[in-house]
Parts: sequence; structure tokens; C-alpha cells
Amino acid sequence: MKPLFKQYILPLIVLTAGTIACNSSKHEGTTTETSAGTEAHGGEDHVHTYACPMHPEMQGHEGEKCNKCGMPLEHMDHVPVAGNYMMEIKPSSEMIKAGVSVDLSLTPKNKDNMSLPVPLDVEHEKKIHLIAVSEDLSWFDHIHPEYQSDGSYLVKETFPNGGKYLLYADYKPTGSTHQLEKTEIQVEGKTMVSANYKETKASATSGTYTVTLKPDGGRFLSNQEIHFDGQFTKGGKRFDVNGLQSYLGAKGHMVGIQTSSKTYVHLHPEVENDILHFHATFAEAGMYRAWLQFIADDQLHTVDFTIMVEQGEPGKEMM
Amino acid sequence: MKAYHYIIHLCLVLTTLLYSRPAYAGGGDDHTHAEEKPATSAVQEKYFSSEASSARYELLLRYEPILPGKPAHLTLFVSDFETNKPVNDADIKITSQEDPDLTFTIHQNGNGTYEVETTFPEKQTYSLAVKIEASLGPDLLLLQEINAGEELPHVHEPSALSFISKDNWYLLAIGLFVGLGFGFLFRRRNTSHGKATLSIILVCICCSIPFQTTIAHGDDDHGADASGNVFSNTVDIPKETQFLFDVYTLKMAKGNFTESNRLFGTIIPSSNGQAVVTTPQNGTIVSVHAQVGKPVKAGQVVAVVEQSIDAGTQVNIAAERNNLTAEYDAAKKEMDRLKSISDIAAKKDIDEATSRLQKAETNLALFKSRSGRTMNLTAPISGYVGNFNVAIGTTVTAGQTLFTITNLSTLYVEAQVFDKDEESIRADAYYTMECANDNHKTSQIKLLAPAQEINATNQSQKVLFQVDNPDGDFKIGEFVNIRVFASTASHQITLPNSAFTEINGKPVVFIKEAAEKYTVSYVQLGHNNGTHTSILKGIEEGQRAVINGSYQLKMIYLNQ
Repeated sequence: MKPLFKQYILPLIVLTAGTIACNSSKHEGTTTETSAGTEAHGGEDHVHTYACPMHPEMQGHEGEKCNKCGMPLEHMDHVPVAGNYMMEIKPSSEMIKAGVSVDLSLTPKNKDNMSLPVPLDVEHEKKIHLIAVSEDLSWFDHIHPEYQSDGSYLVKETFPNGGKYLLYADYKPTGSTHQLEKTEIQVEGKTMVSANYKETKASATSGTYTVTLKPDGGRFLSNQEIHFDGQFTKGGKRFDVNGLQSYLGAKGHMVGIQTSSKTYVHLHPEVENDILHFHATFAEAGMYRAWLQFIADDQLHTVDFTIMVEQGEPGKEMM
Repeated sequence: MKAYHYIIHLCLVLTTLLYSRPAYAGGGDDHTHAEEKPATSAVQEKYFSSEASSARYELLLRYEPILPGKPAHLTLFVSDFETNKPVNDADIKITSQEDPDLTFTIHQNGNGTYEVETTFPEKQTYSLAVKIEASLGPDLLLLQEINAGEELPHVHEPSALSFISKDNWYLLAIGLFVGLGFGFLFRRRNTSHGKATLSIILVCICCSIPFQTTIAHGDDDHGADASGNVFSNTVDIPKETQFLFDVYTLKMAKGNFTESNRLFGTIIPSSNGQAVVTTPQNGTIVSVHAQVGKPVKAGQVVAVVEQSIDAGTQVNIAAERNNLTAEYDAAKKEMDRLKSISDIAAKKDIDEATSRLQKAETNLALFKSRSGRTMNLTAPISGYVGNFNVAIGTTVTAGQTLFTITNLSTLYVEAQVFDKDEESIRADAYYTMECANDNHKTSQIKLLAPAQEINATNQSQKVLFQVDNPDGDFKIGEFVNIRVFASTASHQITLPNSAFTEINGKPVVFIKEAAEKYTVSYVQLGHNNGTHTSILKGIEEGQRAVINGSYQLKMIYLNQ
């Protein structure tokens, strides 16, 4: 029995133990490679950064969401650096007339070297999101200029009435942070009576779809991250938002503008069960006009709301 | 066994183990540079790369280490972002963000492949703004992190010992010494070398089993699993390989998807699509103007038959012809005589003579028209002449079918419909059919008549469809598959059936993650309508799925 133990079992025990140790360690290494992706690449001490694609300054960890717009943070190897950019916006004619189509030319510029071309990232399927609103926030449009051979981005727009309009150009130069350019333009023509929004409107209808905004806690608060839902009904019956089609890479796009300061907020909801769920941080309290766009039945719907954002306590998150 | 026997014993076993090399999996992160890429192939460590994409184009710049102040040759791959098809004849201008005076020479040297030549003056990181004008329109993209003066990272060659870390060496050394210690404790002098050798072999086999299992990558039964244990779900495909294999992608979006049912049918002639040519009387074929398989038009003479007449009938006919000719000659002579004396002839006589002559002419003409012995047989419809068995000189009898003419421009399809499909047969549904043996032969069909009778054999209903067949693609008697599409469509994510392949017996789709990186996505399939299949799980809107070249990607993935 002893020779048997000595010649066969003993070496087997010793070497199997060693082998198991090797295998165990190797599997641990593989797991690490899959989850972190650091050790797998030559053992470099590489730190991963997660940031909001719309607000790269909002950084955090994998799985977290942007406090400003609620989008999931994405993996970014190269942390964007704040640049010195501007968007030059020129209408095709010096006098813009109400009801007449006008070409709007937008050219991103690097203020440090105005002659350099400024490539832009595609965000939500477009390089520039141009929001046009009337000064009283009664009229809204969301358009997308397209790149031209001369380096500008061109889009046609028709302003319905005379008066002042605000243009918000939402864009992100490649390798830099998110930029927002606000411009005012004057449109000649018959002006309408300015709307004055004093009453809130949390429910809006387009076609057979009705959307109702419901904030957690029953109130919209500023200076802190809040959550609110967008509940859909179709023909009076509750509608599952999973049935919405994708519009610019999301189930919906919401733009909010403060009625007095014209502060701009752009939100993208996520789907929770059968409703749209928004994360937002309103920088200012006050009355906001908000527009939600979504595609259903192959048709783009725009519904508008008027919401009152009350003064909140900074740094506190509503539960 | 002596101590040195143990040492030799253990060393041999270790050597055997160390040559059992495990497989390595690539990482799945979104990196663009060579030093960050998984070491899955030696090719990737020979160059740097930078990529950029927009809604229109995808650019991949590949370059070997750049020496500042020396000419640099870079390769730029240009493809359609959504379809991954190479973009040719593009007008490309490159501007360096750091050194706007830097000049670039660009010319196309392959399918979607452009050679870029320049000289980077400094050892620094460059960003290149690429302005491109091609078939998809103008665009401007930025290629970042072009590191001039940077050397390729030292590639760690996976040696025979590479799978053992420093910690593992300690463990092995400890195991070795413990084993030696036990060996000395149980030492006995008279040990045979044969047993020692046998024990070495046994231990080698036992200990190498775990490694053999690990390196079984490449076998279909050991491909990547969804949980991502040992194997990666990622595969790196060089851009030129993608172009070579026509790897095309499609951006996922919910679209109208119409479910369909499949029926089986047989092509039959339409009601006026087939006709026969028969002979009305006995006779002999004197000429044939049709050929088997050739087209004929309606009214076209296909054959001439000469009537057969016996001798008695021939005598009677000759006698009648003589009588009629004599009457005609007499009437004409009388008429001529009266005309010569018309100034004195009575009007009544002239009228009678004229009437007699006209009657004689009519009778003679009628006789001649009836007494013809040949008869033209004409095609009743336009179509193709079927096989026939008549030739010049063939004696035919009255009523005999001489030719069959088939018109294939319109055909009927007789489909068998069972109970479960009965509800789908509606007037507002959309119907297509394809040949059972050749799925490239397809056509739209329309419902002609709902079921009028039941097949007594299998109790299926016979439903009749009509198909236009102007090119004669479909033949009578051919088996076809009929697709019945519902009149209402639903919004679903769908892919062409060419997108799907199988790994481990499960359906997968390859998703394009970056210019040269694809991942395997296991999908749950829904309804297949013959050309497209809906996807219930596994793919999200906005992802780019491979719809052409999936098989090649699968082969590369399994053999990486």
C-alpha cells in the first residue's frame, strides 16, 4: 500500500493541487478581464471614465445616470475638454418675413482659431439640434441643420408670425464638451397677442395620444434632482410607451424653457414599466414651458405643457 | 524511489503542463488604439488606428509608428456608417487641428481604401479633421489621438509559461517542496523505474485534463456562452476583410412587420389559358406550320388538312360544276346578245337576262367556295404549342385533337388550405408565391376564388389564385409555396433572414460595435414571414446588425 501511495497518489495529490492553483488563478484573471478590461490589455493601469453623452461634465460610475437629463452614463476613454466655441447663425436674408421659408446657416467656430473646421459629434442621431421658439414660448420647433460642402450647416425654417424668436443650437464639438448657443432673431410681419402662461398644464393631447406629467412628491422643485413620469393614454385607454417608435435614438425628447429667464433644459426619458420616466435638475424656479416629442403610428407628435417649478433645497433629492 | 527520481518526475510533469497553453479572450471595451486592443491577433499589434463616425460615414485611419519629420503612409478606410459598404471616389481633404499648414496627399488605392501621405513634423498627438464629399453627401469628422513619435507597445508574447502568474509560481514551488518532503518521508530504496515512469504518465494525463478543456475553443460545442466566462463575445475583423466578404450592416429600427402564413399549392392552367386544335372532317395533313414549344398567335395557321372524298361524290360534284358553268355561259351569251341590240330590245327582256346572269354567277361562286378540298387549321389562342404527333401525310379523322396550345401569361394556383389557415384567406390580404424548388422565382398573386370544394383525401380546401406570368417563369404542374400576409402590420424589430446564423444551436446576430469590432448577440426570434424575422429579445433599436456575411463572421469568430 505504501509504494502505491508514494509512487502514484502522492505525486498526483501534489501536482493536482498545483494545477488547481494555476487554474483557479487563471480563471480569476479571465473574470477580471471581462468585467474591467484593464488587466487584459497588457496590465496597464487604465481608469475608465463614465460620463453623460449630452453633458460630459456629468461624470460618475458605470450604471449611474446623468443628474441633468437622466441619460445613462457612457464609457468614455477620452475625457472631453471644455473648448472655446461659438455657433455663427446667419439667415439667408437680412429681413426674415413671417410665413416665408428662410435658410438658416449655422457654422461652428473655434474662437482660438476661427479658420479651423470644427467637426461635431452625432448626438441623438444629429449633429445639431436647433430649437426655435417664439419669445412668448407659444410656438416651438425642433429642426436639424445638415452639413454643407462650404462647412456650414443649413436648415429651412418658416416662422409663423412677426416678432422676436429665440434659437437654441445644441451641439458638441468632437473631443469637447456639450455647447449651447442662444440667439435672438427678429421676424417681420403681423404680430400676435403675446401669450401669458400663468396656469399650469400638466396634460396635453396630440391626435389620439394624451400625455400627463406627474412629478414624484407632486411638485417640481429646482436646484435638486427630481423625477417625474409621463403617462400615456391612447383613445382614453392607458398606453404602454414601449409601443412608441424611436425618435432620434430615444423614446421621447423634452425641451423645457423658463418663461422669464429663458433658461433651457433638454431631457431624455427612460422607460419604466409602461411609462416614461424623467430625471431632471431645474437650475431655476419659475414657470416653464415644456414640449415633449415622440413618434407613434409613424407620425411625429409634439405635446406642450406648462409646469411650475418651485424653489427647492440645493443638494436634496426627492424620493 | 530516490530523491532525484522525484525531482525528475515532477519536472517532467511540470514541463508537460506548461506546454498545455490556455486560450485567451479579447476584451470587450470600446478602445481604439493598438495598446488597448485585446491581443487576439498579431496583426493588430503592428499598427495604430483611430476611428470616427457620423450618421453618414465611418472612417478608420490605420498607421504604423510615425517618425516625426519622416514621410508617413497612413491608410484611411471609408465606409457607409449604416450599411458598412465601402465608399469609393470620395473627395477627401484633411486638416490638422494642431498644425493647419500640414499638407496631406490622398489617393484611392482600393475598394473604400485611401492612402494618405504626409510628414508630421513634431512628436505630438494630432487631431485630423476629415472633410469628405462622396455619394452620401458632404461631412466633416475628426480623427483623434494620432500619436506621432509613439512606438508600438511591447507585445507580450504568450509564452509557454505565460499563463502562470508570479503567485502561481510560488504555489507551484511550495507544492514541489511539499511533494519532495513527503517523498523523502516515504522513501524506499528498491523502487522500479518502470513504476516511476508509469506514475509520470498517469499524473501528466490527469493534470493536463483541465487545460485541454480550456483550449477547446473553436469547437462549435464550446463557443462563447452568453454569460461570458472564458470566451469573449467579441471578434475583431480587419476592415479590408469586411470589404472582401461584403459584410453589410443595417441599423435597427422598429418597422412595419406583416406576419404571414404559408400554404402549399400547384400551378394549373387558367380557364382560357389552354386550347386545343381539332380537325372538323376527315382528311390528310398537307402542311404543318407549328413547332413544339414555339409561340403562336391567335388566328395563326398551324396546319392545313386536305379533305378526303370518294369517287361517286367526285362525279356528282363534277356534274354539278358543269351544269352551273353551262348555265352561267348561256346567261352571259344571252346578255351579250341583248346588249348588242339594246336600242331595239325590250327593257323587260334585258332585265330578265341581267337577273339570270347574276343568279348564275352567284351559284357558281357558291359551288366553288364549297368544293375546296383543303382547310386551314388556326390557333384559337395565343400561346405555346405543346407536343404533337402529326406530320405531313398523316390521315386525320373528324374531331381528332391535333395540337394543344398553352398560354402561360396567366396561370392559376390551386392551394390547399387547412382549418388553421382558413381565417387568413381574406380578400384584403396580400399574397405572394415562390417556387418550392427555386426561391428566386417569386411573384405576387391574387385571390381568385375561395374554396368551392374540399379535398376528400386530406379534407383541405381548394383555393384558387391567379398569377401573371409574362416571362413564363412558372410552369404548369410546378409546386409553389404561397405566403399569406395579414392586412394589418405591427411595429417590430425585424431583420432579413440572411442576418441570422447559429452558434451552439442558438440563433445569433453579429452587432457592429466599432469599425473593426463585432459582438455576438444571442437573439430570441419571433415570426418568420419568409423574408424577414421579427426579434423579440437580444437587439435594441439603433444597433447595427450584420445582414450580409454573417457566416464568414461566424467562421472567423469560432476560429479566432
